[in-house]
Amino acid sequence: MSKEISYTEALNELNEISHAIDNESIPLDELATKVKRAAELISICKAKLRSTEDEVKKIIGEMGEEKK
Amino acid sequence: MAEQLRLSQLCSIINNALVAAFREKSYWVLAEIKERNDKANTIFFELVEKASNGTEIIARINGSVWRKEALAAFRNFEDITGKRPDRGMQVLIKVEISYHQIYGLTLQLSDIDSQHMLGQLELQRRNTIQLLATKPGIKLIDGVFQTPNKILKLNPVIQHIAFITSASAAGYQDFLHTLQKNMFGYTFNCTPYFSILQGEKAAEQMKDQLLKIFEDTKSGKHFDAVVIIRGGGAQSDLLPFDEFNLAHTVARFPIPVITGVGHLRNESIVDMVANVFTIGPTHAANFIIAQNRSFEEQVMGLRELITLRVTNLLTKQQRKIDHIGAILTNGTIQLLHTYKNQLNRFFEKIASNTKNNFTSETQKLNEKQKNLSLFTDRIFDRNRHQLAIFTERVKNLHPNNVLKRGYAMLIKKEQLIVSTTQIKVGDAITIKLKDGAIETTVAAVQHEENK
Repeated sequence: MSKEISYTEALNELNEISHAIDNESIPLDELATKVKRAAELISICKAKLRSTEDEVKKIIGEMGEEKK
Repeated sequence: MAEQLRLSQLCSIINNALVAAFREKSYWVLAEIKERNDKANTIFFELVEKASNGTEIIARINGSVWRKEALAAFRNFEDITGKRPDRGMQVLIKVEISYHQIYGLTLQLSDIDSQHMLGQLELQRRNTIQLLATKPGIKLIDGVFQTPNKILKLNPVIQHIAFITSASAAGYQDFLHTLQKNMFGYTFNCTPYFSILQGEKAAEQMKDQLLKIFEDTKSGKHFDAVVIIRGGGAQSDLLPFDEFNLAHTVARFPIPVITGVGHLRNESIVDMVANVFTIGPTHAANFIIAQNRSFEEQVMGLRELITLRVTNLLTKQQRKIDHIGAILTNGTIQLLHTYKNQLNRFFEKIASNTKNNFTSETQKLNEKQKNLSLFTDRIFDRNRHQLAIFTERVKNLHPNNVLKRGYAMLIKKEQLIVSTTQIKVGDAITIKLKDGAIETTVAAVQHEENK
């Protein structure tokens, strides 16, 4: 991927794939490709969540250390 | 010619008359002080009474205070009322008549009534309050003032403070000390504006300092609040804070005014019209610190809230992703199952169709086979039957069976005789019967035609 996808975009795409699978509207030929893409998106989202969580934890920690 | 007297003699007569009339008599008199003069150990007053229109003088006597007790009484008066008997004041004084042949008729003041003065002051105070209530923007509801200064919203954080105080007042030091020694580490930027806080000129000076503060803000200085502080003192020293002009200025002042003028009893009028009323310099300082602390606590509370919400948000998102992952996993497996089932159904359909075909074909074949068998069986049966019939017939026709039926066989020379033509008389024939044979000779032959 050339441009880094945003969390929201990734989530939207995931939802699309999820719905498509739920509706059984994915032809078999595309199933493997779509599932692979979904796994990719999930890993991207998880990575973003993790890094945000770490950053926020750091900031909260700094806030707590400031006087009073 | 009438009797001639020397002036001093006349004065003497007058003196006697006066002494006689006023010996040991003293009077409580209401009078207005027109002039006051302090010399050595004596106070000289010019006492007058004005007409009801307020300008015309209708009575005047001079008076003095010199006796020790009297002077003490006057000092006491000042202590209690906070006012120095001076020009323009209405006082209730105890006087004795005094006549001196040089200085004429004067009054000796022995006492001055504080309560009367307090009453006057109270009256004046009430008048000031009523007057203030008539001014635009100021309302008095149930004894409580509503003023522009009170309506001002105090900043959540008070850091830049202008304070009006006397350079020598204890309150000034207390106030600064309390502010600077606060336990939260807040710092303040305090600018003093000095004024006297007692006496006749106090109210005007304080008002002037307020105006100066206002001017300074116009040229760039910024203040979050103005604090008026005065260290503890007698109730009487509050008088400047009941003054109309000062109160009016405070009521309309565009920066919130906090008062801390330290007294025991009621509020002064300035306290009543200011944004915040505290009972002393330390209290004023603590109020400011508490205000700032409350803001800080709000911020900390928000920090907690934000921390909580952010953590929740992240957790929620995490779960959402996990959920989607689960859906995808299950969904995909499901989908594959579906496809697999589809295929299987096709397969089964084909299989069962084929099987059906086979079965029906097989069945058909079997049918045919069965039919064939049946046919052949039937044919065989028929043939067999026929054969059997023939066989029966033949069996029946077997000589033995014929014999059994009672017929006899004639045999000549090992030849069966079936016709009469075959034998002649005297032939030796054998007659075979079922149970033996008879050897005989023909005795006669009879031939019949058409048999």
